[in-house]
Amino acid sequence: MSDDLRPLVDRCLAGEQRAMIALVDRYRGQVFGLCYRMLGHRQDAEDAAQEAFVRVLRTLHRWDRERPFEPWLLAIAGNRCRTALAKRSRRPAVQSLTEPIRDPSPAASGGNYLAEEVALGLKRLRPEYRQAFVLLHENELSYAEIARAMRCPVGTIKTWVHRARRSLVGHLRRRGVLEDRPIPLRQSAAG
Amino acid sequence: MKCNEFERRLQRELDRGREPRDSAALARHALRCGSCARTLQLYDALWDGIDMLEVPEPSADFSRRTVQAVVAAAAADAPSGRASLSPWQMRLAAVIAVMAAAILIVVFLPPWNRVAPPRGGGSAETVAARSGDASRGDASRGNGPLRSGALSIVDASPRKDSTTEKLEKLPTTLDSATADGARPVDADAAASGTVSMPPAYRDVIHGLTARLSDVPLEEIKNAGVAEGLRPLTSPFSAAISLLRKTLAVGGEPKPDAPQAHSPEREPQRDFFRERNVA
Repeated sequence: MSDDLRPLVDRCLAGEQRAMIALVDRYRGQVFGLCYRMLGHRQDAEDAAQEAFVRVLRTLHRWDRERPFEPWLLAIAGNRCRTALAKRSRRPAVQSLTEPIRDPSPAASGGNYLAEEVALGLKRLRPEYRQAFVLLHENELSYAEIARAMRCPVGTIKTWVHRARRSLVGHLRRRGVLEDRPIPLRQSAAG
Repeated sequence: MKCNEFERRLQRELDRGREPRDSAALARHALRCGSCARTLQLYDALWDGIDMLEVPEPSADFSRRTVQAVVAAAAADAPSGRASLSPWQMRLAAVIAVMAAAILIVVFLPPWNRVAPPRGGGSAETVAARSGDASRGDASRGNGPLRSGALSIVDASPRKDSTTEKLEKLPTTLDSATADGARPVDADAAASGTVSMPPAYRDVIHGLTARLSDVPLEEIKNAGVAEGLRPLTSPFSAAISLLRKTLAVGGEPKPDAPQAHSPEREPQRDFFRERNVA
């Protein structure tokens, strides 16, 4: 735990609202990013992130100070997201039937298109694969921290992440992402 | 490096957070293998795509609203001072409350209000409870001929047996008034007091109606009426009429069926007369 986080947590435990706001401001990007990536919907992500912070702040006394704060926080956020996904599956909402179509124009073959395709591939992953993948590559947690957060063995988390990558690469291949993309490796290796 | 080793090494590089294009060993193998070169290119694109993923920011007042929700939740828990109940505990509490209410209703409800208008069979038990010991004595005699004033309805079985049939055949007219030549009086109307009738009848019927559940059968038999009137049949007919209305034996009464002798209506069967003829 970083040195400046400990007094902030103490102030939150004392009921100081400014400290709570500071704590939320500090981690809201990561928590909201995970929720948005898991749920794919801005409002749902904001609700889940808020629920996660409320739960964290109300159970802050249970947090083990010997362990890092961030994985604990993201674990709670991930649980909130999975709960929201379970509710959504029981109550099917109106979903968009449209799917982005690849635009072959040069202006559209930039980074935005690639990011959209990756985001679309992420949406199609199983929730546990998606959570493990996002925690590793976006939140930059270690495998051990992810395993602790998701309460799974490290080997299971590695398997999920590898499957998520293969699934995403397969999605990019099917979507023809590489048709106009140069192959820098051959050039660099030849050069 | 072989192709299976290439895939394993590629995953290892990604696990360590390194970009695929930075690995010289992978690049050398990709130069010799077109399939692995394409795979490496796809992973490279995936890496770029992850870096370019857009993450929107939450709303500006997200932190403030979150803290407000925390404070509100804490305030909601504070005054109650009790542990929150889980859903199954709430359901259990509701079941217990309903059972307790049912027990209280059964215990404190007055006895005369426990008699619900039955439908079909099972009504004779109530009659037996009201009629007292005298009627039980009649029941022990079996299915003998129904005598005037003998309320022989004690069988509590729900089926429609001979006792129930007897109840259905009971007369409903104030036959004493008919026999004495007086104006026929409808039993229902007499019981409700909506028609003029001799004061003796009215007093007896009202008295029996008010105390029906408490009046032993012997008292009904010996109820005093004015001289010249039959002491038994008039009040007893009224009592039977009330019982029939209460018990609804044999289904709902037909609204157009006459309940008493009336010159304007079709004459009702006189069971006593028929029985004497037989």
